[in-house]
Amino acid sequence: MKKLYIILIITFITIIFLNKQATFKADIISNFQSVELLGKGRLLSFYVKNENNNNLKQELKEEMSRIKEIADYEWSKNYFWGTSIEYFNYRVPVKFIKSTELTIDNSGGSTPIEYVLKERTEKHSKFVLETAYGISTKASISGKDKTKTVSFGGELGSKLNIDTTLQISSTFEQQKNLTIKIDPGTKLIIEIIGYGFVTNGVSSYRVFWIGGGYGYFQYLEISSQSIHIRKVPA
Amino acid sequence: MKKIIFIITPIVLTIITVIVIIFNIPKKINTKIITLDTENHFLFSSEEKENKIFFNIYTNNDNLDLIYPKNINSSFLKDNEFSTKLELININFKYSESYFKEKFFCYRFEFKISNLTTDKNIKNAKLELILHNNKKYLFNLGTVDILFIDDSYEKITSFIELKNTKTAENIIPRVKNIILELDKEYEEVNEIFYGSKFAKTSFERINNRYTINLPEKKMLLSSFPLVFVSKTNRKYYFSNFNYFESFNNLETFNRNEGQIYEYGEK
Repeated sequence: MKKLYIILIITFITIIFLNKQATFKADIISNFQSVELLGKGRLLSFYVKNENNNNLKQELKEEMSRIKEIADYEWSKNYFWGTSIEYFNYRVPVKFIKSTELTIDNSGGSTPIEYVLKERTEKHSKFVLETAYGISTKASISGKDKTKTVSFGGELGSKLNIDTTLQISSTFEQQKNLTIKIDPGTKLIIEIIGYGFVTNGVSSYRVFWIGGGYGYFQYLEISSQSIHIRKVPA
Repeated sequence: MKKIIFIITPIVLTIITVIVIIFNIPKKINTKIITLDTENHFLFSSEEKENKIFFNIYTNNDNLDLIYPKNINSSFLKDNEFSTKLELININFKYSESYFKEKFFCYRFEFKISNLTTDKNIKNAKLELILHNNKKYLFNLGTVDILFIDDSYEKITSFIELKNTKTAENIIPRVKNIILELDKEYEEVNEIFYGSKFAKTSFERINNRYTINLPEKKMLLSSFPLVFVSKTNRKYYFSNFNYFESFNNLETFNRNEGQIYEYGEK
Protein backbone atom coordinates (compact mmCIF):
# COMPACT_ATOMS: atom_id res chain seq x y z
CA MET A 1 0.00 0.00 0.00
CA LYS A 2 2.79 2.36 1.06
CA LYS A 3 4.67 1.72 -2.20
CA LEU A 4 1.59 2.45 -4.25
CA TYR A 5 1.14 5.64 -2.28
CA ILE A 6 4.71 6.80 -3.03
CA ILE A 7 4.44 5.89 -6.72
CA LEU A 8 1.22 7.85 -7.00
CA ILE A 9 2.70 10.92 -5.34
CA ILE A 10 5.75 10.84 -7.63
CA THR A 11 3.53 10.45 -10.72
CA PHE A 12 1.34 13.28 -9.51
CA ILE A 13 4.26 15.66 -8.95
CA THR A 14 5.88 14.75 -12.29
CA ILE A 15 2.67 15.40 -14.19
CA ILE A 16 2.08 18.72 -12.46
CA PHE A 17 5.61 19.81 -13.40
CA LEU A 18 5.32 18.55 -16.96
CA ASN A 19 2.11 20.50 -17.30
CA LYS A 20 3.95 23.81 -16.89
CA GLN A 21 3.86 25.78 -20.09
CA ALA A 22 7.06 27.15 -21.52
CA THR A 23 7.34 30.90 -21.25
CA PHE A 24 9.65 33.16 -23.19
CA LYS A 25 12.04 35.58 -21.72
CA ALA A 26 10.10 38.79 -21.90
CA ASP A 27 11.53 42.09 -23.02
CA ILE A 28 10.83 45.09 -20.84
CA ILE A 29 9.31 48.17 -22.40
CA SER A 30 11.32 50.58 -20.27
CA ASN A 31 14.50 49.10 -21.75
CA PHE A 32 13.47 50.13 -25.25
CA GLN A 33 15.38 52.88 -26.93
CA SER A 34 12.22 54.91 -27.47
CA VAL A 35 8.49 54.44 -27.12
CA GLU A 36 6.06 56.87 -28.67
CA LEU A 37 2.34 56.62 -28.00
CA LEU A 38 0.34 57.26 -31.15
CA GLY A 39 -3.02 57.42 -29.39
CA LYS A 40 -4.41 58.87 -26.18
CA GLY A 41 -2.93 57.16 -23.17
CA ARG A 42 0.13 56.82 -20.97
CA LEU A 43 2.72 54.23 -20.18
CA LEU A 44 2.71 52.69 -16.71
CA SER A 45 6.04 54.32 -15.89
CA PHE A 46 4.38 57.73 -16.13
CA TYR A 47 1.89 56.93 -13.35
CA VAL A 48 4.51 55.38 -11.11
CA LYS A 49 6.88 58.29 -11.63
CA ASN A 50 4.30 60.98 -10.96
CA GLU A 51 2.50 59.39 -8.03
CA ASN A 52 3.60 62.01 -5.52
CA ASN A 53 4.16 64.86 -7.94
CA ASN A 54 1.96 67.83 -7.07
CA ASN A 55 3.43 70.12 -9.68
CA LEU A 56 1.63 68.52 -12.58
CA LYS A 57 -0.48 70.41 -15.06
CA GLN A 58 -4.23 70.29 -14.42
CA GLU A 59 -4.84 67.83 -17.25
CA LEU A 60 -2.22 65.42 -15.92
CA LYS A 61 -3.52 65.81 -12.36
CA GLU A 62 -6.93 64.71 -13.64
CA GLU A 63 -5.35 61.72 -15.34
CA MET A 64 -3.56 60.75 -12.12
CA SER A 65 -6.77 60.95 -10.10
CA ARG A 66 -8.57 58.84 -12.73
CA ILE A 67 -5.92 56.16 -12.31
CA LYS A 68 -6.13 56.32 -8.52
CA GLU A 69 -9.90 55.87 -8.69
CA ILE A 70 -9.48 52.80 -10.89
CA ALA A 71 -6.87 51.37 -8.52
CA ASP A 72 -9.07 52.05 -5.46
CA TYR A 73 -12.04 50.43 -7.15
CA GLU A 74 -9.99 47.36 -7.99
CA TRP A 75 -8.92 46.96 -4.39
CA SER A 76 -12.41 47.52 -3.00
CA LYS A 77 -13.82 44.61 -4.99
CA ASN A 78 -14.80 41.67 -2.87
CA TYR A 79 -14.93 38.23 -4.38
CA PHE A 80 -14.36 34.66 -3.38
CA TRP A 81 -11.63 33.42 -5.65
CA GLY A 82 -9.70 34.30 -8.77
CA THR A 83 -8.11 37.12 -10.69
CA SER A 84 -9.67 40.48 -11.38
CA ILE A 85 -8.45 43.26 -13.69
CA GLU A 86 -9.17 46.92 -14.39
CA TYR A 87 -7.59 48.76 -17.29
CA PHE A 88 -5.90 52.15 -17.18
CA ASN A 89 -5.35 52.22 -20.94
CA TYR A 90 -6.49 49.60 -23.40
CA ARG A 91 -4.71 48.87 -26.68
CA VAL A 92 -3.17 52.29 -27.29
CA PRO A 93 -1.26 52.27 -30.61
CA VAL A 94 2.44 52.69 -30.09
CA LYS A 95 5.61 53.08 -32.14
CA PHE A 96 8.88 51.96 -30.67
CA ILE A 97 12.56 51.45 -31.41
CA LYS A 98 13.72 48.45 -29.47
CA SER A 99 17.37 49.13 -30.07
CA THR A 100 19.57 50.24 -32.91
CA GLU A 101 20.35 47.12 -34.87
CA LEU A 102 23.58 48.24 -36.33
CA THR A 103 25.92 51.21 -36.68
CA ILE A 104 28.86 51.11 -39.06
CA ASP A 105 31.26 53.98 -38.91
CA ASN A 106 33.52 54.82 -41.82
CA SER A 107 34.88 58.07 -40.41
CA GLY A 108 38.53 57.08 -40.58
CA GLY A 109 38.53 55.33 -43.92
CA SER A 110 39.44 56.75 -47.29
CA THR A 111 37.54 54.23 -49.42
CA PRO A 112 33.87 53.31 -49.27
CA ILE A 113 32.87 50.19 -47.30
CA GLU A 114 30.34 47.85 -48.86
CA TYR A 115 28.02 46.47 -46.25
CA VAL A 116 25.81 43.52 -47.07
CA LEU A 117 22.55 43.36 -45.16
CA LYS A 118 21.88 39.70 -44.56
CA GLU A 119 18.95 37.80 -43.25
CA ARG A 120 18.98 37.24 -39.54
CA THR A 121 16.74 35.02 -37.51
CA GLU A 122 15.92 35.20 -33.84
CA LYS A 123 12.92 34.07 -31.89
CA HIS A 124 11.12 36.22 -29.40
CA SER A 125 7.74 36.62 -27.83
CA LYS A 126 5.02 38.59 -29.56
CA PHE A 127 4.04 40.10 -26.22
CA VAL A 128 6.33 42.32 -24.20
CA LEU A 129 5.31 42.06 -20.58
CA GLU A 130 5.96 44.08 -17.49
CA THR A 131 5.32 43.43 -13.77
CA ALA A 132 2.29 41.98 -12.13
CA TYR A 133 1.41 41.16 -8.56
CA GLY A 134 3.03 43.12 -5.79
CA ILE A 135 2.29 42.58 -2.16
CA SER A 136 0.70 45.87 -1.35
CA THR A 137 -2.22 46.67 0.87
CA LYS A 138 -2.62 50.19 -0.40
CA ALA A 139 -4.75 50.95 -3.37
CA SER A 140 -2.66 53.81 -4.63
CA ILE A 141 0.10 53.69 -7.18
CA SER A 142 3.19 52.77 -5.31
CA GLY A 143 6.41 54.18 -6.61
CA LYS A 144 8.50 51.84 -4.55
CA ASP A 145 9.59 48.69 -6.20
CA LYS A 146 7.38 46.32 -4.29
CA THR A 147 6.35 44.41 -7.35
CA LYS A 148 7.65 41.08 -8.43
CA THR A 149 7.54 39.81 -11.97
CA VAL A 150 5.35 36.85 -12.55
CA SER A 151 4.32 34.99 -15.64
CA PHE A 152 1.42 36.35 -17.61
CA GLY A 153 0.28 32.83 -18.24
CA GLY A 154 -2.51 31.24 -16.29
CA GLU A 155 -5.58 33.13 -15.21
CA LEU A 156 -4.19 36.64 -15.63
CA GLY A 157 -3.03 35.81 -19.15
CA SER A 158 -6.34 34.31 -20.16
CA LYS A 159 -8.29 37.19 -18.63
CA LEU A 160 -6.17 39.68 -20.54
CA ASN A 161 -6.63 37.53 -23.61
CA ILE A 162 -2.91 37.27 -24.27
CA ASP A 163 -1.12 34.15 -25.36
CA THR A 164 2.45 34.23 -24.16
CA THR A 165 3.36 31.33 -26.41
CA LEU A 166 2.90 33.40 -29.58
CA GLN A 167 6.24 33.99 -31.25
CA ILE A 168 7.95 36.06 -33.88
CA SER A 169 10.84 34.36 -35.57
CA SER A 170 12.81 36.99 -37.40
CA THR A 171 13.73 40.62 -37.35
CA PHE A 172 14.05 41.18 -41.05
CA GLU A 173 13.70 38.65 -43.75
CA GLN A 174 15.03 39.37 -47.20
CA GLN A 175 14.85 37.50 -50.41
CA LYS A 176 18.22 38.87 -51.37
CA ASN A 177 21.07 40.44 -49.55
CA LEU A 178 21.15 44.19 -49.92
CA THR A 179 24.49 45.88 -50.56
CA ILE A 180 24.90 49.37 -49.15
CA LYS A 181 27.87 51.59 -49.86
CA ILE A 182 29.18 53.56 -46.88
CA ASP A 183 31.31 56.48 -48.04
CA PRO A 184 34.28 57.75 -46.05
CA GLY A 185 33.21 60.20 -43.38
CA THR A 186 29.75 58.67 -43.05
CA LYS A 187 28.05 56.27 -40.69
CA LEU A 188 25.35 53.74 -41.50
CA ILE A 189 22.55 53.26 -38.99
CA ILE A 190 19.98 50.50 -39.26
CA GLU A 191 17.01 50.57 -36.94
CA ILE A 192 14.10 48.24 -36.55
CA ILE A 193 11.00 50.26 -35.84
CA GLY A 194 8.15 48.39 -34.28
CA TYR A 195 4.46 49.09 -34.03
CA GLY A 196 1.98 47.63 -31.63
CA PHE A 197 -0.55 48.20 -28.89
CA VAL A 198 0.04 48.95 -25.23
CA THR A 199 -2.36 47.92 -22.50
CA ASN A 200 -1.89 48.62 -18.82
CA GLY A 201 -3.90 48.42 -15.64
CA VAL A 202 -4.21 46.96 -12.23
CA SER A 203 -4.88 43.42 -11.21
CA SER A 204 -5.49 41.50 -8.02
CA TYR A 205 -6.22 37.96 -7.03
CA ARG A 206 -8.08 36.61 -4.07
CA VAL A 207 -8.21 33.29 -2.35
CA PHE A 208 -11.20 32.77 0.00
CA TRP A 209 -11.94 36.52 -0.07
CA ILE A 210 -8.41 37.24 1.13
CA GLY A 211 -6.20 39.39 -1.08
CA GLY A 212 -3.47 37.19 -2.50
CA GLY A 213 -1.69 39.86 -4.49
CA TYR A 214 -2.19 43.25 -6.02
CA GLY A 215 -0.22 45.14 -8.60
CA TYR A 216 0.12 46.77 -11.94
CA PHE A 217 0.68 45.17 -15.27
CA GLN A 218 1.59 46.38 -18.71
CA TYR A 219 1.98 44.56 -21.94
CA LEU A 220 2.80 45.48 -25.48
CA GLU A 221 1.61 43.44 -28.39
CA ILE A 222 3.99 43.75 -31.33
CA SER A 223 1.99 43.92 -34.53
CA SER A 224 4.64 44.83 -37.09
CA GLN A 225 8.25 45.79 -37.60
CA SER A 226 9.76 48.02 -40.27
CA ILE A 227 13.31 48.69 -41.24
CA HIS A 228 14.86 52.14 -41.38
CA ILE A 229 18.27 52.64 -42.98
CA ARG A 230 20.10 55.96 -42.98
CA LYS A 231 23.52 57.31 -43.62
CA VAL A 232 24.67 60.26 -41.56
CA PRO A 233 27.92 62.23 -41.41
CA ALA A 234 30.23 60.47 -38.97
CA MET B 1 -8.45 6.63 11.01
CA LYS B 2 -4.96 6.14 9.59
CA LYS B 3 -6.29 3.38 7.41
CA ILE B 4 -8.99 5.59 5.96
CA ILE B 5 -6.43 8.26 5.07
CA PHE B 6 -4.26 5.62 3.42
CA ILE B 7 -7.19 4.47 1.34
CA ILE B 8 -8.65 7.87 0.48
CA THR B 9 -5.40 9.71 -0.41
CA PRO B 10 -4.41 7.39 -3.30
CA ILE B 11 -7.95 7.56 -4.64
CA VAL B 12 -7.99 11.36 -4.57
CA LEU B 13 -4.51 11.55 -6.09
CA THR B 14 -5.50 9.11 -8.82
CA ILE B 15 -8.55 11.20 -9.68
CA ILE B 16 -6.48 14.41 -9.81
CA THR B 17 -3.80 12.69 -11.91
CA VAL B 18 -6.40 11.41 -14.36
CA ILE B 19 -7.92 14.88 -14.63
CA VAL B 20 -4.50 16.43 -15.29
CA ILE B 21 -3.73 13.78 -17.90
CA ILE B 22 -7.08 14.34 -19.64
CA PHE B 23 -6.46 18.09 -19.77
CA ASN B 24 -3.00 17.45 -21.12
CA ILE B 25 -4.00 15.22 -24.01
CA PRO B 26 -3.53 17.29 -27.17
CA LYS B 27 -6.88 18.18 -28.62
CA LYS B 28 -7.58 16.80 -32.04
CA ILE B 29 -7.06 19.72 -34.36
CA ASN B 30 -9.39 20.33 -37.23
CA THR B 31 -6.62 21.33 -39.64
CA LYS B 32 -7.08 24.58 -41.48
CA ILE B 33 -4.70 25.96 -44.09
CA ILE B 34 -4.99 29.57 -45.16
CA THR B 35 -3.35 31.81 -47.72
CA LEU B 36 -3.96 35.54 -48.07
CA ASP B 37 -4.50 37.64 -51.17
CA THR B 38 -0.98 38.96 -51.69
CA GLU B 39 0.79 41.07 -54.28
CA ASN B 40 4.01 39.19 -54.98
CA HIS B 41 6.73 40.92 -56.97
CA PHE B 42 10.09 39.45 -57.83
CA LEU B 43 12.97 40.89 -59.82
CA PHE B 44 15.83 38.86 -61.20
CA SER B 45 18.90 40.49 -62.60
CA SER B 46 21.56 38.79 -64.68
CA GLU B 47 23.99 38.76 -61.76
CA GLU B 48 21.70 36.60 -59.60
CA LYS B 49 22.75 33.03 -59.30
CA GLU B 50 19.56 31.82 -57.69
CA ASN B 51 16.17 33.12 -58.65
CA LYS B 52 14.36 32.83 -55.34
CA ILE B 53 10.69 33.37 -54.70
CA PHE B 54 8.69 32.85 -51.53
CA PHE B 55 5.12 32.58 -50.31
CA ASN B 56 3.49 32.46 -46.89
CA ILE B 57 1.11 29.75 -45.77
CA TYR B 58 -0.81 29.77 -42.48
CA THR B 59 -2.00 26.72 -40.60
CA ASN B 60 -3.35 25.90 -37.17
CA ASN B 61 -1.56 22.54 -37.24
CA ASP B 62 2.16 22.88 -36.54
CA ASN B 63 2.64 19.22 -37.30
CA LEU B 64 1.14 19.31 -40.78
CA ASP B 65 2.81 17.08 -43.39
CA LEU B 66 3.22 20.11 -45.62
CA ILE B 67 5.65 22.00 -43.40
CA TYR B 68 8.37 19.37 -43.63
CA PRO B 69 10.49 19.81 -46.78
CA LYS B 70 11.27 16.08 -46.85
CA ASN B 71 7.58 15.33 -47.50
CA ILE B 72 7.35 17.49 -50.59
CA ASN B 73 8.02 15.82 -53.89
CA SER B 74 7.35 18.57 -56.40
CA SER B 75 5.92 22.05 -56.55
CA PHE B 76 4.50 24.24 -59.29
CA LEU B 77 3.55 27.84 -59.77
CA LYS B 78 0.56 27.99 -62.05
CA ASP B 79 -2.63 29.59 -63.22
CA ASN B 80 -5.27 28.29 -65.60
CA GLU B 81 -3.02 28.33 -68.68
CA PHE B 82 0.47 28.38 -67.33
CA SER B 83 2.59 26.17 -65.10
CA THR B 84 6.24 26.18 -64.13
CA LYS B 85 8.18 23.86 -61.86
CA LEU B 86 9.61 25.19 -58.64
CA GLU B 87 12.41 23.78 -56.59
CA LEU B 88 11.81 23.89 -52.86
CA ILE B 89 14.72 25.41 -50.94
CA ASN B 90 13.36 25.66 -47.44
CA ILE B 91 10.34 26.12 -45.19
CA ASN B 92 10.75 28.49 -42.27
CA PHE B 93 8.52 29.31 -39.35
CA LYS B 94 7.80 33.05 -39.34
CA TYR B 95 5.41 33.84 -36.52
CA SER B 96 2.28 32.70 -34.75
CA GLU B 97 -0.92 34.61 -34.26
CA SER B 98 -4.24 34.10 -32.57
CA TYR B 99 -7.19 33.98 -34.97
CA PHE B 100 -10.72 33.12 -33.86
CA LYS B 101 -9.28 31.78 -30.60
CA GLU B 102 -7.02 29.38 -32.45
CA LYS B 103 -3.27 29.58 -32.75
CA PHE B 104 -2.11 29.85 -36.36
CA PHE B 105 1.46 29.40 -37.53
CA CYS B 106 2.84 31.24 -40.53
CA TYR B 107 5.43 29.44 -42.64
CA ARG B 108 7.51 30.90 -45.42
CA PHE B 109 8.01 28.57 -48.37
CA GLU B 110 11.11 29.45 -50.33
CA PHE B 111 11.60 28.19 -53.87
CA LYS B 112 14.06 28.42 -56.69
CA ILE B 113 12.48 29.20 -60.03
CA SER B 114 14.81 28.09 -62.81
CA ASN B 115 12.65 27.21 -65.80
CA LEU B 116 11.28 30.68 -66.34
CA THR B 117 13.31 33.16 -68.40
CA THR B 118 10.78 35.77 -69.48
CA ASP B 119 8.66 38.26 -67.57
CA LYS B 120 5.44 36.89 -66.19
CA ASN B 121 2.42 38.59 -64.69
CA ILE B 122 0.05 36.03 -63.19
CA LYS B 123 -3.30 37.38 -61.99
CA ASN B 124 -4.73 34.39 -60.13
CA ALA B 125 -1.57 32.58 -59.22
CA LYS B 126 -1.71 29.20 -57.55
CA LEU B 127 0.89 27.13 -55.77
CA GLU B 128 0.63 23.40 -56.20
CA LEU B 129 2.48 21.13 -53.81
CA ILE B 130 2.62 17.39 -54.42
CA LEU B 131 3.79 15.22 -51.56
CA HIS B 132 5.61 11.91 -51.83
CA ASN B 133 2.39 10.11 -50.94
CA ASN B 134 0.75 11.79 -53.97
CA LYS B 135 -1.35 14.07 -51.81
CA LYS B 136 -1.91 17.31 -53.68
CA TYR B 137 -2.36 20.78 -52.25
CA LEU B 138 -3.39 23.77 -54.33
CA PHE B 139 -3.24 27.24 -52.80
CA ASN B 140 -4.34 30.62 -54.09
CA LEU B 141 -1.59 33.19 -53.81
CA GLY B 142 -2.98 36.40 -55.27
CA THR B 143 -0.86 37.96 -58.00
CA VAL B 144 2.70 37.02 -58.93
CA ASP B 145 4.74 39.45 -60.98
CA ILE B 146 8.15 38.27 -62.17
CA LEU B 147 10.52 40.63 -63.91
CA PHE B 148 13.85 39.84 -65.55
CA ILE B 149 16.27 42.68 -66.16
CA ASP B 150 19.44 42.78 -68.23
CA ASP B 151 22.79 44.50 -67.75
CA SER B 152 21.45 47.84 -68.94
CA TYR B 153 20.01 48.29 -65.44
CA GLU B 154 22.31 49.66 -62.79
CA LYS B 155 22.00 48.41 -59.23
CA ILE B 156 21.41 51.05 -56.53
CA THR B 157 23.78 50.57 -53.63
CA SER B 158 24.36 54.09 -52.52
CA PHE B 159 21.58 55.90 -50.73
CA ILE B 160 21.25 58.25 -47.79
CA GLU B 161 17.97 57.08 -46.38
CA LEU B 162 15.44 54.31 -46.84
CA LYS B 163 12.29 54.06 -44.83
CA ASN B 164 8.65 53.22 -45.37
CA THR B 165 5.23 54.03 -44.02
CA LYS B 166 2.93 51.12 -43.57
CA THR B 167 -0.87 51.21 -43.45
CA ALA B 168 -2.32 51.57 -39.92
CA GLU B 169 -1.95 48.58 -37.66
CA ASN B 170 -5.59 47.56 -37.84
CA ILE B 171 -5.97 47.47 -41.62
CA ILE B 172 -4.55 45.18 -44.30
CA PRO B 173 -0.75 45.37 -44.05
CA ARG B 174 0.70 47.19 -47.03
CA VAL B 175 3.46 49.62 -47.77
CA LYS B 176 1.85 53.04 -48.18
CA ASN B 177 4.91 54.93 -49.26
CA ILE B 178 8.66 54.69 -49.37
CA ILE B 179 11.12 57.45 -48.77
CA LEU B 180 14.32 56.83 -50.65
CA GLU B 181 17.04 59.43 -50.80
CA LEU B 182 19.57 58.50 -53.47
CA ASP B 183 23.14 59.64 -53.62
CA LYS B 184 24.13 62.30 -56.14
CA GLU B 185 25.67 59.81 -58.54
CA TYR B 186 22.19 58.87 -59.77
CA GLU B 187 20.44 60.97 -62.39
CA GLU B 188 17.06 62.55 -61.86
CA VAL B 189 14.38 59.90 -62.19
CA ASN B 190 11.34 60.23 -64.40
CA GLU B 191 9.44 57.01 -63.86
CA ILE B 192 9.28 54.52 -61.01
CA PHE B 193 7.85 50.99 -61.08
CA TYR B 194 7.49 48.59 -58.19
CA GLY B 195 7.97 45.49 -60.25
CA SER B 196 7.15 45.16 -63.92
CA LYS B 197 5.62 47.75 -66.25
CA PHE B 198 2.22 46.74 -64.85
CA ALA B 199 3.08 48.36 -61.57
CA LYS B 200 3.83 52.04 -62.14
CA THR B 201 3.78 54.31 -59.12
CA SER B 202 3.36 58.00 -58.50
CA PHE B 203 6.06 59.86 -56.60
CA GLU B 204 7.20 63.24 -55.35
CA ARG B 205 10.76 64.43 -55.61
CA ILE B 206 12.77 66.97 -53.65
CA ASN B 207 16.33 66.98 -54.95
CA ASN B 208 17.28 63.31 -54.77
CA ARG B 209 14.76 62.43 -52.11
CA TYR B 210 11.85 60.43 -53.52
CA THR B 211 8.56 59.77 -51.78
CA ILE B 212 7.12 56.83 -53.67
CA ASN B 213 3.41 56.20 -53.24
CA LEU B 214 2.11 52.68 -53.56
CA PRO B 215 -1.49 52.19 -54.75
CA GLU B 216 -4.21 51.25 -52.27
CA LYS B 217 -5.53 47.73 -52.64
CA LYS B 218 -7.00 45.10 -50.37
CA MET B 219 -3.94 42.92 -50.81
CA LEU B 220 -0.91 42.34 -48.66
CA LEU B 221 2.22 44.02 -49.98
CA SER B 222 5.46 44.09 -48.06
CA SER B 223 8.21 42.96 -50.40
CA PHE B 224 8.98 44.24 -53.90
CA PRO B 225 11.75 45.70 -56.06
CA LEU B 226 11.89 49.22 -57.46
CA VAL B 227 12.81 50.14 -61.01
CA PHE B 228 13.81 53.70 -61.92
CA VAL B 229 14.03 55.28 -65.35
CA SER B 230 15.77 58.62 -65.75
CA LYS B 231 15.02 61.37 -68.28
CA THR B 232 17.98 60.28 -70.37
CA ASN B 233 16.69 56.71 -70.22
CA ARG B 234 19.23 55.48 -67.72
CA LYS B 235 17.80 52.61 -65.75
CA TYR B 236 18.38 51.76 -62.11
CA TYR B 237 16.98 49.08 -59.88
CA PHE B 238 16.66 48.51 -56.19
CA SER B 239 16.53 44.79 -55.40
CA ASN B 240 13.59 43.04 -53.81
CA PHE B 241 13.33 44.37 -50.33
CA ASN B 242 11.10 43.30 -47.48
CA TYR B 243 10.00 46.60 -46.01
CA PHE B 244 8.12 45.30 -43.00
CA GLU B 245 7.00 42.19 -41.19
CA SER B 246 3.47 42.12 -39.81
CA PHE B 247 2.18 39.72 -37.22
CA ASN B 248 -1.62 40.04 -37.17
CA ASN B 249 -2.33 39.34 -40.83
CA LEU B 250 -5.24 36.92 -40.51
CA GLU B 251 -7.05 39.15 -38.06
CA THR B 252 -6.59 42.32 -40.12
CA PHE B 253 -7.65 40.57 -43.32
CA ASN B 254 -10.77 39.30 -41.66
CA ARG B 255 -11.61 42.66 -40.12
CA ASN B 256 -11.18 44.52 -43.41
CA GLU B 257 -12.86 41.94 -45.62
CA GLY B 258 -9.65 41.05 -47.41
CA GLN B 259 -9.63 37.89 -49.47
CA ILE B 260 -8.79 34.92 -47.25
CA TYR B 261 -8.35 31.62 -49.08
CA GLU B 262 -9.11 28.72 -46.85
CA TYR B 263 -7.79 25.50 -48.30
CA GLY B 264 -10.35 22.77 -48.71
CA GLU B 265 -9.61 19.28 -49.97
CA LYS B 266 -11.28 18.84 -53.30
